[in-house]
Amino acid sequence: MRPSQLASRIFVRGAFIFLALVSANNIVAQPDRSVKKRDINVVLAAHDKELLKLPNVTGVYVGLLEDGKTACLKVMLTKKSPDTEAVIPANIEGYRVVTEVTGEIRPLAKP
Amino acid sequence: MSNLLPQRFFTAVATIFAISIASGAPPMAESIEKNHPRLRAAIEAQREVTGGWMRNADVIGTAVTVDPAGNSALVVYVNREAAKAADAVRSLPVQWRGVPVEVRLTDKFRALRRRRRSPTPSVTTSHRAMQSAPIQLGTSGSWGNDSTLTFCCGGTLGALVQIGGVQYILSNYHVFEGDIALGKNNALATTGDAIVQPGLLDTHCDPDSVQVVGLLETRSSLPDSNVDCSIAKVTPGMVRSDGAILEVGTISSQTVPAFLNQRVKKSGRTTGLTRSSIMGLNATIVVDYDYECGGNLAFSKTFTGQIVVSNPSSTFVNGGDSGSVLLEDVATNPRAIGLIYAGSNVDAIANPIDEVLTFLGATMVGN
Repeated sequence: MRPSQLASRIFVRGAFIFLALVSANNIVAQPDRSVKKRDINVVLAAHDKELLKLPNVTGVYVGLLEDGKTACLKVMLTKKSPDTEAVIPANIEGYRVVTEVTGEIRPLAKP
Repeated sequence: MSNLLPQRFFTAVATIFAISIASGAPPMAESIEKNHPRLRAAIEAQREVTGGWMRNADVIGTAVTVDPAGNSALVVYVNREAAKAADAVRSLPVQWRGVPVEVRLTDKFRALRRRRRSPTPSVTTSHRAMQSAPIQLGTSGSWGNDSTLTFCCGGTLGALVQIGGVQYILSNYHVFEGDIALGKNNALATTGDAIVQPGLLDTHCDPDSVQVVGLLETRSSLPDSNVDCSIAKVTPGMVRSDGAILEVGTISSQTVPAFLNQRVKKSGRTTGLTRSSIMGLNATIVVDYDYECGGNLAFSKTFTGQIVVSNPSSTFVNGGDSGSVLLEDVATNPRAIGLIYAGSNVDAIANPIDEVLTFLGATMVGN
C-alpha cells in the first residue's frame, strides 16, 4: 500500500471514529425522546466542518427528502465515493443524511 | 394503477431484451425460446415476484434470461447508487421455485426519448449581442481587460442597485474584479476600469465591438467576506434607469428570503430566461477561484448560508450566467432572492441577496 493510500485510509477511519463519537455524545445528551430536536440549521452549523473534511465532500445543506416535505441534511460529493459514503452517518441528531453526487462547484464565469 | 404501468412496461421490454441478447438468436426465434419449458418457468416466476419485489424502490426492474445451454434465470436489477443497495440485494433469494435469481447492479434507467428543446427566449432575445443604449440587464458583460492571449472571459450584468442615490450594475467579484495577478494580460482589476457590454467573451476578444456601460468600483468581497459580488458605477445614459432585465422587465425594489420548493427564475448571458426551484438552504459550500481569466487556482473559499437551486444538466444556469440575479417566479416586478455565482450540472449556488446588499450598503433599483 502506498503511503498516500495509507494516509487516506487512516484519515477516513479517524473521521468515522470522530463522527461515531459525535453521534454517541448526542445519544447521551438526548436520553429521552421527548427532548426536542435541535433546529436543523443549528445541527448543520455544528457538523458542516467535520463533514467538509471528508474526501470529495464539497458542500452540505438543508434540503428535503423525496417526499418533498421532510427536512434532511444533504452532503454534496464531487464524485461517487464509497469510502466517504461509508463513514457519513445515516442520521445526525435525528435528521436523515443524504448524499448526492453534484460534481465540483465552480464559479460560473465563462469559460 | 398508473404507477404500475412503467414497471410493467420495463418488465416487458427487459424480457424481450434479455432473451435476444442471451440467446443470440434472430427475432423470429424469440417465440420458440419463450416456449422453452425452463424459460416458461422463469417467466412465471417473474410474473409472480415482480410486483412485490419492486415495492422496494431500490429494485428497479426484472427480466428473464437464458444462456446458450438453455439454462434460464430470473434477473433482478438493483439501483447501484441506492444507499441501501446492499440491503436490497440481501433481501433477494438465490432462487424462486427452482429458478435461479441473478442480481445485477445497474444505473437507474432513463427514458431515451429525445428531449424537446425548451422554448429558450434567446431565439428572439439575444442575451449576448450588443444592445442599443440604454441597455437592459441580464445580458453579457465583462471587465474590459478580461482576456488572455488566446481567449476571453465574462459573465452576466445582473441587475441595478443604488447606493446613496447613485446607480451601479451588480455582478460577481469573479466576473468584474477576479483578476488579482498581472499574469497573462499584464493587468489587475482596478477601480475605474471599464465594464463592457457585451462581454469580451462574446466578441472574440475584440475591444472595438463592445460598449462601456459602467466603471468598476472594487469592493474586494473575496476572499474574506461571505459573498461573491462586485459593482460598476453606471455610465450616464448607458443602462436603463428603471433596472429592467431582459425578458423579465422591471423588478421590485424589495427582496424576499429563499424557501424550499420556491419557484424561481433568472435572466443570464448563457441560458437566457430559465426557471427552476429552490432545493436547499443554508448551504456550506467550497468553491475554487482562479487568479485571473484562464489562470490557476488562487484560493478555495468556503461560503456558508448559501441557496441551492436545482440545475439538472445545467438547464437553469451554465458558465457565463455568473452575476445573474435569482428572482421569485412571478409575472410582475419579481423580488430578488439571490445572486448566482457558482454551480455544477446538478446544482446552482446563490448568495442570499440581502447579504450582498448589506455588504455593499446598497438597495435594489425597482418598483
